[in-house]
Amino acid sequence: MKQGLKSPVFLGLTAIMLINICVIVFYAPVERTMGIVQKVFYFHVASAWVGLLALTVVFAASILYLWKRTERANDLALASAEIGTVFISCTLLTGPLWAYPIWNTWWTWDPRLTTTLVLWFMYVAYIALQGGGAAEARKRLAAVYGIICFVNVPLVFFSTRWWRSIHPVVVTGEGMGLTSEMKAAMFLSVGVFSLLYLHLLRLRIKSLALQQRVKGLKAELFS
Amino acid sequence: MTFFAAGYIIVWALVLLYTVFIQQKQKKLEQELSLLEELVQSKAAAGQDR
Repeated sequence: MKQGLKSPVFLGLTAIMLINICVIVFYAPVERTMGIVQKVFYFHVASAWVGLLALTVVFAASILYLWKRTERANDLALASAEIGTVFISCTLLTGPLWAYPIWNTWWTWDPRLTTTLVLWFMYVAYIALQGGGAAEARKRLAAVYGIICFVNVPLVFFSTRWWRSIHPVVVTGEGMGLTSEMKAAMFLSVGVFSLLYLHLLRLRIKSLALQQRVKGLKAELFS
Repeated sequence: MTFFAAGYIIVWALVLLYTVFIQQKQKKLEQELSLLEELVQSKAAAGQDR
């Protein structure tokens, strides 16, 4: 079976992504006040969703690693942290593109923006911590740190409810404040980004397992 | 439209870069693995000859 960029899964995902962009551009209506720039919302929210999902997986895999001490749990945590960081980066970069024409500033130290930036730094530190790789103690420390980092995930989600914020709240107690077409485009984006996350996760875990095998063979050869 | 297009390009550029990073790493590891497997086999064969 072909791997990477030419694999049927990747090509299938590319096709779904093209459908997604068509839905966003042609089907989702243009918001009356903000205009076309509001359509950044569909990538921004989907990236944020996958980022937070990935970091929740890091939390669960870190607990699993401390409990079972399996390489697979550590690989799952590392792979998910990397992908989560990629998507949180997308969120942090698309946010200012939407904010500038609406708020007239690229960045403001709003609770939602600040907690998201802190989250990004925390997971970059997590990846750096895992970077040394080999030592068991290092993996244990990374797992503990991965669990502690998760504290920031609900803070990001609830920041707009708990503190005064200019960031819009999508899901409120009274619903979502979106038209049915907007909702359809948003759920499609979230679905497509989630599939992309699963695909990248599978690829990265495979690569990390291969790395372990190479390490094992090297040890066997030079022992 | 410029901001919307820029947002779209940033997201997919980052995802593509990460995919290429994984693919390159995978390719390098596969090459290293086949080389190591050959070395292990030749070491085992040399051990049997003795």
